[in-house]
Amino acid sequence: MLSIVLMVSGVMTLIFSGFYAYWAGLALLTFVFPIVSLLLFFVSFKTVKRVEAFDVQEGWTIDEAAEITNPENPIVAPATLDIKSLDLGMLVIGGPGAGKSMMAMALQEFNYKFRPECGSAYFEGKGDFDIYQTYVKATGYPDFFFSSELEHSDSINVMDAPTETIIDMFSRVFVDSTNGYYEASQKKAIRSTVPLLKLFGTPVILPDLWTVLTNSQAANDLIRKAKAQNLDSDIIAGCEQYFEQEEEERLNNIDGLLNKMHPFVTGMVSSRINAYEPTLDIAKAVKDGKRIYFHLPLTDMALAVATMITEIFGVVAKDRQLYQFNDRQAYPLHFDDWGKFFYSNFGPITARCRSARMPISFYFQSRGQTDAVELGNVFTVEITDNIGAIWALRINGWETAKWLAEQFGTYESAAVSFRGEDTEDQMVSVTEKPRVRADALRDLNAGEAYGMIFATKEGGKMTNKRYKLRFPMPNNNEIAPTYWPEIEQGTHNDEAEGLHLWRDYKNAEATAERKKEAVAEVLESDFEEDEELDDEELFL
Amino acid sequence: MITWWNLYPIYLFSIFPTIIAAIPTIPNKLAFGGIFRQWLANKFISILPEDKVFSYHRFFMQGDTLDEFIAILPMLLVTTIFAVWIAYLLGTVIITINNAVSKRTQQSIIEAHRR
Repeated sequence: MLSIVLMVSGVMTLIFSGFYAYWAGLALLTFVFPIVSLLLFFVSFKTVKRVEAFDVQEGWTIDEAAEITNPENPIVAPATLDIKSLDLGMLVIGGPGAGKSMMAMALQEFNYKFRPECGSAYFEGKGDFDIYQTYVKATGYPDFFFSSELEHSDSINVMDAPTETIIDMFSRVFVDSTNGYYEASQKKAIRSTVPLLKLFGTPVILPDLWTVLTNSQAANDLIRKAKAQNLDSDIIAGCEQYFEQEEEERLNNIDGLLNKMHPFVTGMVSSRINAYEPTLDIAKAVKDGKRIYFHLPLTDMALAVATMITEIFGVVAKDRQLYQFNDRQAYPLHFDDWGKFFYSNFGPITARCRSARMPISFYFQSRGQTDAVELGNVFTVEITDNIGAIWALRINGWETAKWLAEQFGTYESAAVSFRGEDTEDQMVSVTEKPRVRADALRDLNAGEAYGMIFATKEGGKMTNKRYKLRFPMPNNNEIAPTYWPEIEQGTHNDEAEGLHLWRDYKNAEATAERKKEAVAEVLESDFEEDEELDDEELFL
Repeated sequence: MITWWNLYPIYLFSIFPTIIAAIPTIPNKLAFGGIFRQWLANKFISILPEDKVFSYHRFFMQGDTLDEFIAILPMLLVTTIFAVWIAYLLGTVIITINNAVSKRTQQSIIEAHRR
């Protein structure tokens, strides 16, 4: 009101100054009154109360949106989802056909258009071709395409990671934890052999590990080679100790491990995950801001491969945290239809990735999928706490809907009523209502969502905003592909530099040959030693 | 609680000087409008440069009621500004006192419900 009064005063002073100029001509006051008028206008603009809006400077703008922080007074206006919050990762939950994948595409399209310098990794857990088609239409062909099922895909090396990570990863993926005795033996096998394999500084692949575990000749030769090169004696001793066990008993103990490992050594996926010179170096792709499409339709094998790839991303995140401080571009990771792919180490990896500006967005269907990871629902709590935004698309199940509705909290609703028409007696009733009803989550259209996300403003102020909105469909920016990508194969393992235990010991014939070579080598060295001894004796 | 919308009669106070200035002068019966216009003209003359006073004085004295009204328009604007500010201050005082009382009452009722 004050600004209106000031504005009216300013207008009137301006008109007055016109009249004064007419009657007084070029007098001193003729110039004073317009200045007074301008001052009044200035003060009027200054006194306009500005709503303390968290004007998001940069972000993904959704046109169809309403802010429902106070659901009784929704603000229907386009919502800009703060880029800083998007870079904290999101949890997107929705039933089949609710629009999760399309939302993932639209978000990636936003990144592709407005942050082309940032790469991204899209993990697709359904495996449909139309999702790949939509991805290409919206964002263009990915720089790398890895598939657990399609033959023509980029190749990776799952053992291209630090020793400890490989031990953790293989212990999680290959070790059967149902029997404590065998579990310990199998973990011991991994812990004893992987450090030795990594000791040589040359690329190692999973079949090399398999060879060491199953072929004692290969193990003995490797230990001898390590000793000859004067490599870490503690690791060699640990490995030697492990192989001192009785062969039959040792193999019996790790039978389950070998059984689980077998499809990854000789199966269909083997050539794609065991390349000495992989066409997809994940660490380099992240560093260069490349876009990777992981086609991992749910199978037990895809689950294991996905776990290994996720662990590799954890390593990349660690590297970014420790050694890349400047110009660290965001590298979003989208795990689409990932409910069945969650595993216990996801929580720490999420936190690590978020901290390294590699925000993880999960798209899944049910709370049950996160609850299944660990007893006591610890994983669900951890994952919801580690994330910057939660979006609830249409939910089918009541339990998940109820849980999600609770995440949006409550608000206070005060109602004033009068006892009678001619009375001033007021009655105020205050009730605490849920901001979002569970039922409302079951009635959403495809792409519609309730969500909450942080909004930041200059000075570091933050607030948690709640929205009901409809995510846009991804656009057709590029020509749709008609078939899966045909990736050219990289260097064959036989031609690449590596430890090559698998090649050198792959059958009895090759092993016998290596045995002969080893015997000859030992004899030769003994002969040389004898000669030296003889010389010494002669000298004496 | 009351807002500025409830206090709309107070806005009319702003046009009070204009209404008085518009009252015609009827000899021996109604002189108030004329006296107010003359007072406004004198006030305007007091801020005019000396060499310009004569022409304004002649326009005011020789003109009819409409000319008189036109002549006092500048000062009428000034008095209206004052009237607007008086109305604003009055309204602010009324709203502040009234709302402070009802706010406290409602707050205590809400607090009682919470307990």
